[in-house]
Amino acid sequence: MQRVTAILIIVFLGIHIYLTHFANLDIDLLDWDKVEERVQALPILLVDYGLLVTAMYHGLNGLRMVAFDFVIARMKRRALDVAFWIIGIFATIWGLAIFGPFLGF
Amino acid sequence: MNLASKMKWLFGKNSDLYPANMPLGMWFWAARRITGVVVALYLFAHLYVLSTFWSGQSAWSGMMEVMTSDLFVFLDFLLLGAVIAHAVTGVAVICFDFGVGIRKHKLVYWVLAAVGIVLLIGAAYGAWYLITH
Repeated sequence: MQRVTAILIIVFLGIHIYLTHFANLDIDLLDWDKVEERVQALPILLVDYGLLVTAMYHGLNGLRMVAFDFVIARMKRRALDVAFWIIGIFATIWGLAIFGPFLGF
Repeated sequence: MNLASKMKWLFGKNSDLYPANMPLGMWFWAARRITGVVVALYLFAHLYVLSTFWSGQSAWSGMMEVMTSDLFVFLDFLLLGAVIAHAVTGVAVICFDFGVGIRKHKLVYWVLAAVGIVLLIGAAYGAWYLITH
């Protein structure tokens, strides 16, 4: 899964960074109206939400792998798994809700 | 083992992590690991900044004034550098997983390093343009 999400992130993040920073260097792409315009376009919203989910999984799983190099005991690893899942679910809901003001919720 | 001898064991002249002892692939591994942790933590900073949407348009404009200052554009450039380093080293891992270049590790590493440097120059151009305009 770390490999699968890696490839998805390369695609999603490429689109995301291009649209938010490089598409036009002369206008402010992070202006409220510009953000609203992008978020209300379904394909772009899906890319951003896809990036959120894949990046969250990839990032937290990566931190977990680093942590597992230092934490060996089985019960401690189990505790880490639970903690990472709670953080991941919380942060994903947080991220999904972030565009609320543009999407009317 | 006390801390000093532990450090010597980990980073001393005879250790695997002593820079002169690190083979090329290990530099890629170290770069991927360090940038990975940085980028994963950035994800939460990103969510925090974007939460300003909830406080309305004027709060967002205020936040963006800070975020588009020269300092933060430079930090964004560093972040993009970390992402690029993480991505090219990760692509090397995926290549080897699929058996691509498995007998030519060094060639794959140098080609991907070159790709990374080209992307970094693009990022630098963007950052420089934003700072000077």
